[in-house]
Amino acid sequence: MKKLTLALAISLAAPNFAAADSVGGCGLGSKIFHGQRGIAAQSLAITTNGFYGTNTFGITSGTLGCEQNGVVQSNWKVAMYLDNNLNRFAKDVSVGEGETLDSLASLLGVETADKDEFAKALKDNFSTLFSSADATSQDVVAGLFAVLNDSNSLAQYTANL
Amino acid sequence: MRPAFFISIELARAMLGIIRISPKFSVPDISILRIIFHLLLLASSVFLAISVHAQDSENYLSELKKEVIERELYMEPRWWALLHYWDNWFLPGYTSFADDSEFFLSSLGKTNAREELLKTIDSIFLEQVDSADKHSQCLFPARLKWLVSELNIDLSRLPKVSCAQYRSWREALDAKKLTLVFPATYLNSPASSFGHTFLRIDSSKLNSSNRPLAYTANYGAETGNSVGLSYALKGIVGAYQGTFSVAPYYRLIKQYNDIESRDIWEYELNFSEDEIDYILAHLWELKGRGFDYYFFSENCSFLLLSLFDVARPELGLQKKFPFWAIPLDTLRSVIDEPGLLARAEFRPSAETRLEFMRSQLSEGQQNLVLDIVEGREPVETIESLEEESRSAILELATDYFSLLNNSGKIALSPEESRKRGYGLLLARSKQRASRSSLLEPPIPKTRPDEGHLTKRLSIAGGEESDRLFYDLGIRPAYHDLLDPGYGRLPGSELRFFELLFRGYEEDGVDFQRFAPLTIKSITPYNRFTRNKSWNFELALERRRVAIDDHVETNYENILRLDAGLGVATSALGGKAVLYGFTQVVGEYENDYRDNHAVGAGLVLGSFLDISDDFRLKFDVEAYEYLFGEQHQEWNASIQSAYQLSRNISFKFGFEREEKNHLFTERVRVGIDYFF
Repeated sequence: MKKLTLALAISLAAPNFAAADSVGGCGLGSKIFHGQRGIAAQSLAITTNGFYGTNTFGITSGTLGCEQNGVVQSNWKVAMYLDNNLNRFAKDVSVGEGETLDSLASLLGVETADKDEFAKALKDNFSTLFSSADATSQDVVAGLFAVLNDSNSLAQYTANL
Repeated sequence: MRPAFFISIELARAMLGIIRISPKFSVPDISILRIIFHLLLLASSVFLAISVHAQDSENYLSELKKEVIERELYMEPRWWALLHYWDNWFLPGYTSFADDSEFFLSSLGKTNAREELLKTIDSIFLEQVDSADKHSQCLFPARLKWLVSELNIDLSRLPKVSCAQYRSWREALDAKKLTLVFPATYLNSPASSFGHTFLRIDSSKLNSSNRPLAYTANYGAETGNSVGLSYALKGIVGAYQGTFSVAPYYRLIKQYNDIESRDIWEYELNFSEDEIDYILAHLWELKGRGFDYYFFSENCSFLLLSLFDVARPELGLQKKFPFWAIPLDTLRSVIDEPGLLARAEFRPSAETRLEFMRSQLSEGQQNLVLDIVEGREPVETIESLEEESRSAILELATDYFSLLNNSGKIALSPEESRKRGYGLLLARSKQRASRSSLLEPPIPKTRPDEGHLTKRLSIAGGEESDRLFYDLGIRPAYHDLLDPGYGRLPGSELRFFELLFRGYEEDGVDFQRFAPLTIKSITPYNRFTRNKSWNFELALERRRVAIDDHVETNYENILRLDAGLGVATSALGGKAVLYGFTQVVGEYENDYRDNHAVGAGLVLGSFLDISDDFRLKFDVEAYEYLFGEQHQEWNASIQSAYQLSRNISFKFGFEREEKNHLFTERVRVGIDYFF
């Protein structure tokens, strides 16, 4: 009854405030909770998602199933993270610090003692991580692997890539 | 059951007897018999165990159910919160908001709390189902938790079910703290003044430097591809299905901070471990379950409240929002609970950050940022500058480029935009310095929840063309340009269902105005953010009209739709904003020629903050109605508002209108009270 009354009471207005949000007035991602799709399928589905792409997800869109019940599967954590944060991450790497960089360090399990070196290694090797304007998050993961592997103290963290 | 048990005992005895009486059996035969005997003994004891157990659990179940009925547990607030029951309007009884039949174990569950509870007890005691994860213990962990504690259920009698999926989900989320997140107004879209709320789940591994890795629980509708009016109407009548989703926080930061340029406020809540357990368990129960989604009432914020009600039924938060749930109000209802708010944090939007940081650069540096962003100067230009300003300029250029690119305000092909953005990043990476010395924006003095309350009551009096009048007005939501500005984005106006009654000394009180929706977005334009301003209003208003040759004037109800696009600029160091709009307007009135008048207009105006508490507003409007009832309209007004306290504001205004050669002058003094 409540619904009906309310719907009638307000049907005069054509409010578009709810339209301001991308998905149904209340934000993003409602499709993600929907199913538990197999993890296997999307390993073939890596697409290119580079800089300044419009609001698209590349490697790891929620529809691809690197999540189960909304939780990112551990082997997809870094890929999904970079895929969603490539611009922010590139900015932090170019500067040499920032929350997006710190969060990646945390995902990779970088110890506090190694954090400065981690940030410096990434900044110094910006052009290895982002070799061109067309670099995709997949390229960045490969670049990360190479850069970390080159360092005695950071090589251990490639295990979590 | 019992006879079977006796028979098996008799058999065993007989066999023992045979063995004893017949010593002639050879050794191997005896061992065969022994094996048979042991097997039988085993089988009978298993059988015994099952039958005794079955008997026992049946007794136990009926004891539990008896207790449920005696104590009327199904009327407990927590059970109602878990099942989302609400008393029906006008009719006796109650109904659950949940619209997914799978959410109920009993076929009567949607309207029968007792049946649902009894059925739940049966289900959690079921020995076997097809797959462990489909067992009710796994599907409804919050119900289980509550029943176990409320009925003191003997855990050793409860079937052991592993619930692997639920366990691993809970382990991955590792919830230690909960934070209510409020993305505030979308710049240049007052429609989002209503905001949005979602829940952030903070694990023990999170600290201030890796917060984006938290998970969030977000309730939203699946709207598919429909847009515009059909989208709005479907949203109002509940044609969309809403579900909870869990996703990493960094995705929502990107969505709100970067793409929509909305500041995010984070309110960390003091829920206990046990309460957090309830919230997460109930979230799991709601996973993928559909609720009809209503923009105004059963929306994101409303459903979120149900989680808190499950954790702490005495809060009764949902009950406070029977008609509509405005996210900011629901946020207030939560953090106003004594002791529930631990701390509030601020995450500025891309635009807030950039505008604050840009203000720290000199005019020449700002020009250079823009020239680089727009490609008029190559990145290499910065080489001639000092290192410190090189870093600052490149960082700002990078962020502005992202912002303009995100909002489609830069006309570049995807290749070109990638190239330019990459060039900026590469140049920055070659500067040795880490972060530039530009300061980050401070936390605003007033949080959104600390602004004026949402509903407004207005009492006013005045003189209209030599007649005294008095006004009584009510507006359920939300904010206008003269309301106290604390915690609101300046220049944003969003008014819903404004209703005004007016009385004249010689006549009685009469309907004066009903405006279902008024939106104004007045955002100063600058060459960096390039925001436009716009407005929209739908209103039914009682006005003096002179029609055609009629000599006498009359009060008539005019339905009016007015929309405009314009531009604004700030002046006096940000104390004043000047704006101009071009309008299209349509009016419907019974006595008009062909019942309507359609035209175009111009609006020029300004608001000026004399102090934090005192604002003046000037407007001049001119309309030419070209179709239907052709006529002209001129309006001019000066309004002022003085804020006496957070929720009380004093108003004074003067208006002069000329519509179809009929003049009206009005002086008005009044008080607004927010509640």
